[in-house]
Amino acid sequence: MMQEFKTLFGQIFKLKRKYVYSAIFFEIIATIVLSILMIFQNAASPAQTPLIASSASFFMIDLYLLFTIAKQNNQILMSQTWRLVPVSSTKLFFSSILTSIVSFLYLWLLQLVWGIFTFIPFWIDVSTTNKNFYFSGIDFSSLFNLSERQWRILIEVMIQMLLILFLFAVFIFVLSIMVRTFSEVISDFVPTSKEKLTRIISGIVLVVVIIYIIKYAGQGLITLANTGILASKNGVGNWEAIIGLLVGDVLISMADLWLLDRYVEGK
Amino acid sequence: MTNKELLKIEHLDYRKNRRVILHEVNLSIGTGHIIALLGENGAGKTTLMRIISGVAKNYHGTVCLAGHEEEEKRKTHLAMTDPLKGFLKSSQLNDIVVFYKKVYSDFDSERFEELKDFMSIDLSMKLSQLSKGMREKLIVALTFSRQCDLYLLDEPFNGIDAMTRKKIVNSILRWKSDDSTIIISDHFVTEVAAILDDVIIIKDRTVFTHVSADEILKKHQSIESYYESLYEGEE
Repeated sequence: MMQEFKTLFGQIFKLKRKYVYSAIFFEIIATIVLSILMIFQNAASPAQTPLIASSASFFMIDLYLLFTIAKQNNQILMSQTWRLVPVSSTKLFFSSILTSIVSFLYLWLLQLVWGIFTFIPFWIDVSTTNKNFYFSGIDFSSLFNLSERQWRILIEVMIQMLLILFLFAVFIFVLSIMVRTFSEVISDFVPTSKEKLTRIISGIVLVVVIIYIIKYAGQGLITLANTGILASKNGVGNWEAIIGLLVGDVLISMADLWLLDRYVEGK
Repeated sequence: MTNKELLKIEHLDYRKNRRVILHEVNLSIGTGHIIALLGENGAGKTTLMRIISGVAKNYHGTVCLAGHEEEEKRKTHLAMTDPLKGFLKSSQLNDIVVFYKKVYSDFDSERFEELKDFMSIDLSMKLSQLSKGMREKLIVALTFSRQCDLYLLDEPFNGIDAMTRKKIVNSILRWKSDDSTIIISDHFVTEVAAILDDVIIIKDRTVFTHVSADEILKKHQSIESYYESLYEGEE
């Protein structure tokens, strides 16, 4: 019997979950170490220190998970172990991408919990002393006095940012698969002596070409926006980026699937 | 041994790195056979197995297993020894077994328990802690725990001691069902000569010969001597 998507998804997520736990573990360690350093250097008030430390390590940890998972996706798609499973390349590809997204959402959830935990000393400090919500030089207490329109704009921008982050993560995943699969396929068509060199050159060329296409497509979208097709009152730039990333994700995914289905061999 | 056709390969061509690896391979294999796939290093034995299993791509010709040409469907009818490179070195053997149970619906847990005891495999160990022989025993145990029509054993005796070789051969005899076919690729046949039904020799990038073991033994002293005679005068 051919494998169900659910089973495949579960098994791949099981592997990635370990990296999520290691990422959150690193974040906790980084927060503690940074907090200790900041306390010794009197860099911030003790109540704000854990929150500043966890915020500082947040993106580094996300980047760590992003590249670790991208590497693992390639290992799965290129390995004989996974390619022997009675499942189509399409199912395997989408399982890898979806588990990557779920792993990220899982990490964000854990980071949110950790963020709330590090926020507690700051919250206690503010509520007991009736101070303003000053954090990193910004007065967050003004958030409580926003008008309905301002809240709407703020929420829209936050949704856009989340979408951009999400699509960017998918972009990194599908792009890393593309670079690896493309260089593997090209190297299969050249003599063995030139295999390694071809793999490196084709990878570099592909990255350059994709960056050029993104830049070109971005300019095209800006032109479209200026003619009014995409123009809206707020966040025009963000919607351009979202559409650009979405188009990029879809196109690169289609190329990945084509290469995986026809040329890429499990090793 | 039955004679129903299980695997049919027609006009198979495969090139890689601008080299012809296999050319005009035609093969027909029935159910219930134990077959040795012999050939020198780099002859294309592993490639042929990888094509049958659907792991190798971009070949020309047709491969039909149990009436299916589509790769995904072929994979449901076969089990191939896998070097387990898709797992982290820190993976516990228990987790690998769980993976097999989950992704292969034909995985027989009871059969694996028997094979595990027979091969003395300790599931609490990690992949990185296994010796070459232990790893090979685990691979064979995982492969035979599936209930398939075709088993592809790619050089299962490579670099392992005599006792382990004996265990693997015994497991082939003990756990092979009447209808299933086993193809064992190797450079030598000493270990499996006594249990073979057929011999396929890959030479000059194609199937040089596909003959029954009985036929070989009618004309030659042993399968080894027949195999060696094919290469006489080439060195």
